[in-house]
Amino acid sequence: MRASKRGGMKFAAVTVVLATLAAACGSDTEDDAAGEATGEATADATAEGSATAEAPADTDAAPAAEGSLVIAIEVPLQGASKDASEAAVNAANLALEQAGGVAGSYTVTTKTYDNSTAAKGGWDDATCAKNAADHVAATDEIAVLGPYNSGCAKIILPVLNQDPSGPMLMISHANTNPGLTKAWDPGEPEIFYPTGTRNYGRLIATDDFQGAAGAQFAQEELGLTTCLVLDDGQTYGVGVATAFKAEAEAIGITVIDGGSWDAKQPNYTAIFENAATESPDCVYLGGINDNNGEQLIRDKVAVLGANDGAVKLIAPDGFSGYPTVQELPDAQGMYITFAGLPTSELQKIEGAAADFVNAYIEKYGEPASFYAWYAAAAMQYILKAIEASDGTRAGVTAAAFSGITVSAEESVIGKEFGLDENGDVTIKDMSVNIMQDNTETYLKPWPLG
Amino acid sequence: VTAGTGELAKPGRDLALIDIIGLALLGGLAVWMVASLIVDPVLFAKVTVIGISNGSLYALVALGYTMVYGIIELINFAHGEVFMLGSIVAAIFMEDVFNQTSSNPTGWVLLILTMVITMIICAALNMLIERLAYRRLRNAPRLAPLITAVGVSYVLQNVGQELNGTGSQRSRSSVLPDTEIHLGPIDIGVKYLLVLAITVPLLLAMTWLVQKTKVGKAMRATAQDRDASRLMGINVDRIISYTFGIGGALAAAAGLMAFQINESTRYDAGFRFGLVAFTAAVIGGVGNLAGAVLGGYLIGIIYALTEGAKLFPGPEWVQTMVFLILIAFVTFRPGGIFGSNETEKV
Repeated sequence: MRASKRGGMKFAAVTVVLATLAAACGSDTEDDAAGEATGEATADATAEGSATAEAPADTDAAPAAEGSLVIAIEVPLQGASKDASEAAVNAANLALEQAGGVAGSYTVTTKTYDNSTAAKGGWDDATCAKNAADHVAATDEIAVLGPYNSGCAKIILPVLNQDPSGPMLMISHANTNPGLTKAWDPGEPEIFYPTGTRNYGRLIATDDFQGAAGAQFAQEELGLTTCLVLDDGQTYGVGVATAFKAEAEAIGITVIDGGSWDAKQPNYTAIFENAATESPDCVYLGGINDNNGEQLIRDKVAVLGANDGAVKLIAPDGFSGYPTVQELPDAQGMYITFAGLPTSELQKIEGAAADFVNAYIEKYGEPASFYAWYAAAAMQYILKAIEASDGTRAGVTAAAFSGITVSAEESVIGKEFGLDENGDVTIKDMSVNIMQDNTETYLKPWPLG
Repeated sequence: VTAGTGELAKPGRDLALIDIIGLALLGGLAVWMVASLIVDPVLFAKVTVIGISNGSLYALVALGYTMVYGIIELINFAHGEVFMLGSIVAAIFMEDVFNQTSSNPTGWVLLILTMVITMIICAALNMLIERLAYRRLRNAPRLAPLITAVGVSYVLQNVGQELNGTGSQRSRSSVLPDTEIHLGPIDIGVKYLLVLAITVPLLLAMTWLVQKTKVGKAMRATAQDRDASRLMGINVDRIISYTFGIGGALAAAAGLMAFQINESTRYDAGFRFGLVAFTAAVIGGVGNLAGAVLGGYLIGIIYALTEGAKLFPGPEWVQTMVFLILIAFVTFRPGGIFGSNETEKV
């Protein structure tokens, strides 16, 4: 009996370790269905989709048929980013609708891919990998709009880059991690472009600008001297927190490195109790709200006091555009940097920008979260690239990097924009917002450089 | 046959060496904690209180694991999800049914009522799970009910998602007073003490039920030998069902308190929480009630110290610490803290 219990004990231990590994790996294989198309699908091509960062072995993907093309939209439609993602899909589709559903001589439709899983409550690496293979295999898809998360982009991008009929163009409305386009972590950005040809662009400023802007704002506007910096351990969060810390130290702010918070923890009061011993006057949360961000905000206020008190709370755009954050009482007074212009500022730019925002509100009944406008801009840019191309994936990618621009008269973000040779947008805006009256309110622009 | 040979003696030497290594590891952890205490005793105390509070919740959930394992040797991975559903159901009752979102005497009374209702619901749910998913697999190979438990876990997670909304986190309001008690330089949140005030009676009631009641005696007998128990006239199926019910009720109580302390509910909170609670049960000695409780508190404190105390490595190392301790226990003391005490096993 005793021996049997010991045997059972060992079995239990092995099982719990295996379960831990499964949990640590995330829900990588839990919800393949989440990667299925959910939007205005027109393409029925599907791929078995190996979940690796490689192009499928079957490399006979033919150029898209002339006359009818599909733009894939990559977003997380489950979890905390659901609202922002749905708004982005709506805005992109509205931009396409306003363009008459055509680009040059091609009829264009969209197909939405969900790269999240219910179990993770956010984007999922295995689903991103599967979607990447699906994009390559779907021969009528011409380009990808998105994804929302930089980590997901880093998985999809090399696969699209190795597309034999491409590289396949990907334009993101929300990725801010610098490594996607310029030197950042070791090997970046070359590791994302195995063929050596650039096929990725983004329409917002990067985290090296955003993190630095957060630190400069903390010192110059708020007069803060000591900041606790936490990150969520993900690509985006670590990147923006690193940029904040570097700039903060350079301008004389004392940095308390709080490390990475664990998204699955029930609460974080112990972290802030520890930080309280060093009397910070600022907390910077480098990460996304999906990773238990609201609990972090609540526990910050519980231990260090309200955000309009002695200890300010600053976060990057990973906390922007979430209705649940806006309505959180403990989030009031929190500052958020945003790597673009918010709705209120776009509405002030007469012409295409204000018209588009108003058209969106008229159609959907409420303004979108900020990134949605950049999704619409990404749609405009992809349509321009298709128009300037021969209708093949390689042709569209080449056209996107040929110096084309969306003019100020037609730009939904109010300014002429294009991509530089790295894929970064040619105009860069940075805003600082504040949570007031349950709304994320524009506070001021922040100069870059 | 091999008594007195070198081969038989060798395991004896290995065992002694293992014991020494285990004690050295334990001693190292103790030294680490003492050093942290000396460096900043106030912070150490504050963080320990947080750890005890969280540990109370782990203990309640660990009891469910340990009871079920003790009686049918099943690692019920769905148990963490029952905790999660308990928190969401409790939040729905408190906020949507009773409309209680702030601290007041009516809210406190309704909190107790909600706890009773939630415990009944989760007890019934756990009994239903046992009846539908596990009973027919009782004599199947061990892997079959284990995989089923994982499957049930995902089913419950999706139910939680439907109830809680598609966002992973949902803000809730607590009716617990947001005040503190000052013990010299140490501030202790009243809500943490209230968690203890609710947990300790539940644990005592649990002990009384198992040790002093007829049902408890039947549970212990079933855990010892199911066939013999059946021959003695015990309805084994019913006793196993009761065990699941009690486990579900305790998980529900933990869920309610988690939602009150954290002021949020998450549909994805159960799996990891359950895993940690199971670790607590293993550390205490699976099948041992007192061990599960002690393991829960130990894990809660280690969690909090790693996250917040001086000289500890910080939040990103929390999981590493906890599961290293699990591995150390499994390797050096596989029976857990009270593992060899078979007579107390449920």
